[in-house]
Amino acid sequence: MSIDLPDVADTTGQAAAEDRQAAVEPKQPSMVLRRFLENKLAILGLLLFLAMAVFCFLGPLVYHTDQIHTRLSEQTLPPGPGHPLGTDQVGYDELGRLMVGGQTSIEIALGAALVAVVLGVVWGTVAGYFGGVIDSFMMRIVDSVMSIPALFLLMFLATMFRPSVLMLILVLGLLAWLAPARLVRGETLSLRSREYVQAVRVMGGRAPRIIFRHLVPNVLGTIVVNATFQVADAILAIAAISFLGLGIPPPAANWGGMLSDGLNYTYSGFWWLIYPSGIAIIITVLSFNLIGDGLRDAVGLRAHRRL
Amino acid sequence: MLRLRTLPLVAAATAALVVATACTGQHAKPGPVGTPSEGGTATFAESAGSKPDYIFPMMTPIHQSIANIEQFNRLSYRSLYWIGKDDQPVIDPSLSLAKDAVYSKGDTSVSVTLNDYNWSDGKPVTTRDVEFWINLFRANKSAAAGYIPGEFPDNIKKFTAVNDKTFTLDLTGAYSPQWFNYNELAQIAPIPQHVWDKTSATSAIGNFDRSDTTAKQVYKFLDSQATNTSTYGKNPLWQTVDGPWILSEYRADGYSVFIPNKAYSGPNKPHLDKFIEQPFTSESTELNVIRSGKTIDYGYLPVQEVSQQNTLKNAGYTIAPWKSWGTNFTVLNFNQPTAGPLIKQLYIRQAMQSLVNQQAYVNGPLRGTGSVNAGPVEISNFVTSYDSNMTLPYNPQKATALLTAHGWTVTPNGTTTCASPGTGASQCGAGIAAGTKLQFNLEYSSGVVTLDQEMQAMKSDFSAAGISLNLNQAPFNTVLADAAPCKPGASKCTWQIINWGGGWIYGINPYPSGDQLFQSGAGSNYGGFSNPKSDALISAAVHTADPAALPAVANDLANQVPVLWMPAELYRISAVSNRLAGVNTKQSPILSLTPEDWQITK
Repeated sequence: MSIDLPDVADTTGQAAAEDRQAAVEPKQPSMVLRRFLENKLAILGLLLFLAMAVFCFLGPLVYHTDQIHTRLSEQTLPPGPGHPLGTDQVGYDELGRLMVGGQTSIEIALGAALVAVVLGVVWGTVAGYFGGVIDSFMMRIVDSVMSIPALFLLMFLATMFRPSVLMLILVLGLLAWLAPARLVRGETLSLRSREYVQAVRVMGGRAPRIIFRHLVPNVLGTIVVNATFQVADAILAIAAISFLGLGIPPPAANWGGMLSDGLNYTYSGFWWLIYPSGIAIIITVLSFNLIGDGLRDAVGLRAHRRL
Repeated sequence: MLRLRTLPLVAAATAALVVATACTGQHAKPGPVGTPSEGGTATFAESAGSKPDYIFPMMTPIHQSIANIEQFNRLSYRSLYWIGKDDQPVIDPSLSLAKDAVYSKGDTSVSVTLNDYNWSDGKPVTTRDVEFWINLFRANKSAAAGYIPGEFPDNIKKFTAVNDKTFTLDLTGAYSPQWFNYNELAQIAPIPQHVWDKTSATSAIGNFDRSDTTAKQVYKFLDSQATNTSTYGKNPLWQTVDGPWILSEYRADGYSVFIPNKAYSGPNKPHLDKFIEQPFTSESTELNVIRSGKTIDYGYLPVQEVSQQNTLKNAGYTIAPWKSWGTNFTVLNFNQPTAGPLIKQLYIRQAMQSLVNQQAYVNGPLRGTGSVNAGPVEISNFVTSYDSNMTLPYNPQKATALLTAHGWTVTPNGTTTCASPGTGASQCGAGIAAGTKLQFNLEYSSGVVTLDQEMQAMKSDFSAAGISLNLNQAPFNTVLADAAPCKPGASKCTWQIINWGGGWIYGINPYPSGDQLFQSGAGSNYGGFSNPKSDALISAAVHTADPAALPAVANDLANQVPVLWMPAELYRISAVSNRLAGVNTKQSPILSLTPEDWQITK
């Protein structure tokens, strides 16, 4: 096994020097932020997400409903006094359920994206930095796992383990880290030959320090963009497995599960069981996509100007 | 008896809905149009999430389902007596392999003569084939779902083949002829000894079944072949049948294609070229397909979409309710290490039953249909009413009182805990430590909307007495596999409460004496319920023709709560294409199919 770039001993003086070297790297967060804020669609995305977050997490503080006890005598009531969005198939208030379901969906989506990004960044930077056999080995693992249909794995795992918020975060995250790993690995291959990385190495910087202190911060722009898409993808994945009846068991709710339940009444005209959750999914996914596009443009512009 | 995977749809009180018209006889209209023809393909919709996966006609508990027996296995392998004449749970002599059984010596001996049936390879069905089935069952009874200690084959003192067509069974005691016909003889399905009596794919045919040791090997071989579903369409074992259909194709999702047995010697020869069973993952998917075109000839209408009846009628379907002969329940596991000590306490089971709001389930998920079910036997000629002192209707106050009286600190909307451990009358009971929480894991089948709603409602209702249910859904076959009976003290026993959806139909054992489900040690006693008094009452129902014996069993089991009794439901609201002639809309009470009667109209 060969390692392209062997480490040399680190010293306090060398660390200080490399920190200074890292400090001269052009981060320019203010420029990224300014460019992001200039993007109207990105702002719209941000506002949409904030609105959904407020609706889901602060809404229940204002709009009180019982989302624990079923009321079969009130099942599938149409929108009206007392139930602005009607009731669902077991009598839960649909508006309140939309809030509670949104909490679960957003929590899982953000959690899964975080797991995917952290794992993907570590995997990708290590593979990209060391290169050679290590890179080949690690990326073949990525290729192999990518060849397995994600939905199949989700269904398999969901039948093996009792679905819970934590379990879904881990499962979705462990399935989603592959794309960021590839992305980061490609970026790292480019970054590792930069002068500042060479300088740190010459000064005796060890691999972990180079990776976490110098490489990771410089791929963050790319990763943040990817993370927004990961969130959107996770929301859709939750919807998919809930549609298959393998989501979090009741009385917990999530938008995908609500949509799935509502689809059982497609031909009965109970639109309030379908549209609200469907629209909530669309808005949230759209918001993250817009945010992601905005970030990509902002980060890309930064990179362009750096050149 | 069979586990029922029901699509709990509009049930007994169908007067309020579409089924009302069906029940008044209008279900048969408009019926098939055109002239019946020979050939063609008819497609039957399997129940959502339920698929056949075991072809050998000797079921293990995990494979015993409607999908496997009544709607798969029985197409190719017929039993001595066919249960179901129109929609009544009685023997239909015209479809039975044997003539009426003759009892003698004070009902301690029975003689059976076979009708003239042949196997698909031209060989006759003989008493040797009956003996083969009995020998395999006897040697492997511990693995068989139909086994009940003390009953078949333990109660067979001697099998005698008088000749190729007649055999006698000398019994260990006197039995009710009705019970013996319905619950013992009707489950015997002759199997081709001249093809299957071997211990491996390459071994020669022998009389291996006549030794217990080699009979186990034969069973092991046949079971291994039956669990290897990828070979179903081409395995020569399954090509020798005495029923009207031969399985020609099988896919992992349960998609099955049957072709006619050209040598079928029964009364109704198949008219179709192919009979297909189509799987579905959900009811809504099935409805989408049935609405979208003509690919499903015999499907169903989910109860939540009952308003679509006219749409389907306009699309050329006849709507017909399908009522099963059975009972509905949720299974409690007496032998699960954690939940078992709780479930073994009668007062806890009675408290739980008092929290099952059956009427609300009927009014809600079942949309004002179905009926409250107090015990193991539906109100019928067998049991005309229940003793109200023995039944446990919805009464949350009673549930709370029962728990409080036995040393529990009841915490509504929380989790009730044991405050007074011990075995005294006012204490929690044996094996229950102080601080034990009254909580259970409840696993149920996914894909059935009404079951999902009932389980959610049950969780909600149970919280009134602080009984916590942790719900978990899984595909039907997974639930079925999980529900395997556990032995007392088994460490690997994980399931606590299970509902596979729809409970049980009294299929191959239509006399509802409860022996297969609730007698100690019975093969289909999934939860491991055991009570000497119940056993004695069941025994009386089995051995005597006393008309009071069966109601006594029903009342006792209603009060003992060996399972949680759930509302009676329809199996389906069938949607039968009007291009299909020959379908009896008075559908089989044990849910079997006779596609050999069907014809495509032109």
